[in-house]
Amino acid sequence: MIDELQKMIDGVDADFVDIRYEIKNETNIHYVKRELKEIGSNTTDGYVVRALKGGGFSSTTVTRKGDLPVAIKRVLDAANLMAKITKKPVKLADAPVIKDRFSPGMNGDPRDVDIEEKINLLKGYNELILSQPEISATDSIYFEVHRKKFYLNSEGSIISEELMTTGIASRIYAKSGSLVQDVSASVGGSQGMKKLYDREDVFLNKARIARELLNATPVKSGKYTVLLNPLMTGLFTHEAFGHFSEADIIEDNATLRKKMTLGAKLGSEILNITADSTLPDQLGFYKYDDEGVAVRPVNLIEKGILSGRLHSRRTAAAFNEPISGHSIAEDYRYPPIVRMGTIFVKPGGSKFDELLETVKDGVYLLDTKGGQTAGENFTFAAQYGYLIKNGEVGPMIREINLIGNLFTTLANIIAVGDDFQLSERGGCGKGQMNIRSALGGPHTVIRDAIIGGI
Amino acid sequence: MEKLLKMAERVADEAEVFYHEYDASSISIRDEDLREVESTIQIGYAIRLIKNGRLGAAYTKNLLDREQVIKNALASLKGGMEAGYHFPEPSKIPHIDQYDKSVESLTFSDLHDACKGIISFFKGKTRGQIDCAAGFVREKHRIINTRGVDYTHRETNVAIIPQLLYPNTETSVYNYYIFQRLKLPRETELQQILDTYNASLPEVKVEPGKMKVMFQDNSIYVLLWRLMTGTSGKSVYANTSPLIDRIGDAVLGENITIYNDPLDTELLGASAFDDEGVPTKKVELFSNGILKNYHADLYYASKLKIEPTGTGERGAGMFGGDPVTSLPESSPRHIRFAPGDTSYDEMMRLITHGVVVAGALGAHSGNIMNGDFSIGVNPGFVVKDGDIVGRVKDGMISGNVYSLFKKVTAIENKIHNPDSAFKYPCILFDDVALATK
Repeated sequence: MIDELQKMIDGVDADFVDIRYEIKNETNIHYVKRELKEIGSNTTDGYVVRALKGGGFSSTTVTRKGDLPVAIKRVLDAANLMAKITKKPVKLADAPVIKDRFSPGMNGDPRDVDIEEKINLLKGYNELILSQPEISATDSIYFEVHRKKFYLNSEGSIISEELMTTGIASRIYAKSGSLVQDVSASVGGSQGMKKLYDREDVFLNKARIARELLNATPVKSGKYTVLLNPLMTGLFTHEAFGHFSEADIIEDNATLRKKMTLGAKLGSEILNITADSTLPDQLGFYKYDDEGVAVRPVNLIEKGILSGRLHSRRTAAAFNEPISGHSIAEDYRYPPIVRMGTIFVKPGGSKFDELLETVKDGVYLLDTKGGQTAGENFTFAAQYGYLIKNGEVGPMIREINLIGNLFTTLANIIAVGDDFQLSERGGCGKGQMNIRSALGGPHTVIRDAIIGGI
Repeated sequence: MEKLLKMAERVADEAEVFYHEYDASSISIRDEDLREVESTIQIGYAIRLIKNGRLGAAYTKNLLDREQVIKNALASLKGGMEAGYHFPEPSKIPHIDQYDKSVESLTFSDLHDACKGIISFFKGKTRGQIDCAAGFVREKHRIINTRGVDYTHRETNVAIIPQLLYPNTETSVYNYYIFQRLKLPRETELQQILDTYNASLPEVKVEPGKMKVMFQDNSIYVLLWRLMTGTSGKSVYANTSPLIDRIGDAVLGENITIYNDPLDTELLGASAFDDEGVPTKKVELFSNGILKNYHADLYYASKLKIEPTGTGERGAGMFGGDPVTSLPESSPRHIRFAPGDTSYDEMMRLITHGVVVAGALGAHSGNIMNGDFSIGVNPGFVVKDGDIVGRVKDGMISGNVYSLFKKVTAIENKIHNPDSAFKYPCILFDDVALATK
């Protein structure tokens, strides 16, 4: 394969050219309540070609090998056009030439496990949830995505890397009359099967939460001091700040780029945020990004000060900052874009009880239900929560969606817990889906958060 | 495809092959400079088999090994997925061709020239950053099955999206112009973007509370997502919908009529058949507020003992998906909202103090099944005595679609196409909660 790919890019008339070929195998099992809705294991593949010429940079993706000559013509035509027009010629930051073949170790390779065992595993959790009172339905999936990537560039890098992502996830519905409440539960990661076994507690707990939500009160809209659990801290970090540490988001937005100058004070002294996909045994782990750069940990905020940024080779050159290895594609259908991988708030020094005291009157929000960002503004939602009165956790609340502003909300983090947890399932849709976007941190307290309620 | 179908027929009672071809190119101009030029050619095949009442499925992008695809489908069949239906028989369906040959010769330069003209129009007239994206698509899909269905659909589209960005944000005033061939927006349309941007530029402090809120056509999807989830045959069968046993009931206001019409060729995306080979048709979902029908693919139609609604689409769901690798699911993609009798200007004059939602953040969050929404207004224009006086800073509106659609003050007498295949008017609601700092 390597020789074949080499031949494809040899002789391409460009300053730089790279090619990525991927074989992707996906196994999916899907139950809706007790009915099997999908099962199968399938393989797809495709190519991504990029070229830099005279400051113009372009990419084309194809699924058929026979379309590669067309792809190469298109990238060159596009690069030539851009070179003629752009006021800011693209450069690629220097990167070491790497020749490596990497397969991460796995604790239980799913390819060695029979499909029947996977069905039984999923069925077991699904049945457990459905047997709980007031649970009206489930949407439960087992997924396994294996990517085998071959990367070559005209500088001499030749890398192959395998990535395995596994998970079991269930959307759980409880219903009373016409009132429906739903929560989700998921387990998994990048280590194979290990994290999928013996997780009954996760699914049982969420079935209980779904049931209790039927009697919860919708939160009143307004301004609150909020205590976020580790996954909510992670989602908040991902949406409120993480996307602005991705250099491609701000590269061509003049006003945002100015505000996001390294050294800018964004948060209080207690806030430290890091992106570290080198951490082993977690969902967001990888060794090389999709342009052949080794990923490294990046301290993004240190003591409230913007201290680092996530880059592709293109953005690293544009910002004159070091490469970081964060140029990632969903699969062979896409060119890579800058992705945060694993992002988290570093633990602080406060115990849980101290955090409750800090809140005094407010809300405790738990587990993520999606978020979105657009420039300085972001929203994020919690699956459930509780009122906090006089520093004590009170009745359950529901319908919790928050809005914030990057430049004010980070500064409103007033306490950081001493615990730590990372998510086991990803799903960030910045143009492409990143199923390995890991996030987390400790419990944190934010003042003056706006909740929409219903 | 035919070979694959023949091979499948040998091992199954019924079989279906779906083919998808997608060729797209795009450019992105940011801050008046060409920054991205991309292209993709994606091909794929998906098969479904029915044997002894059980369903098997498989797919591939490169049809290099047909045997392996059949083996994968047979392995899937062993899982024991119930089919509960037969693949459709052929029907006489209208010929809908939305393919424009001129798109075959379009180049990146053509897209750039189109954007350049738009940027020249805005230049010097605004303090906002001027962005413009453009792209063209040539797409074909074909479905054949062992009962004789053989339908092909081709279409082209060219999209141009001019945007004026507010400072320090990616939030913008924009419009999405999409046509079968390259067609530039009119100057009056660009002027409207400009006027709206300039009027809404100041950030205005709005006191939280209940007020009149107008959803612009490009934000109606927030509400529609919830209604489509509630009316889905899957939600009804799974006992998660709040609309179970409500056919014939007035669940929305009497001025609300919503239907799906894939045969309406006025806009793109029209198709005479869905991705299961079921002929499409106009399906009323709500008529004058009364729930008329659920929408269902072959599977859930069989479960609910109703006719399939021709809405079985691959790559369904809120965020779409790969039409080859995903199985069909009911997803009405040609929603039409019946217009009202009030002009946009008259609707604006009805707002003495309120907000126009011109974009949403977090539309996918919250309890969608229950019809609840809680979205960041992004942007949300502040309206005083009928005029836009600025935009909301950090505002969030919330509510429940089933109660909201009973508080409709006015529906615009014109429908827009904010995306390729949807037609919505702007809708003004009373008493909507806005939370702000």
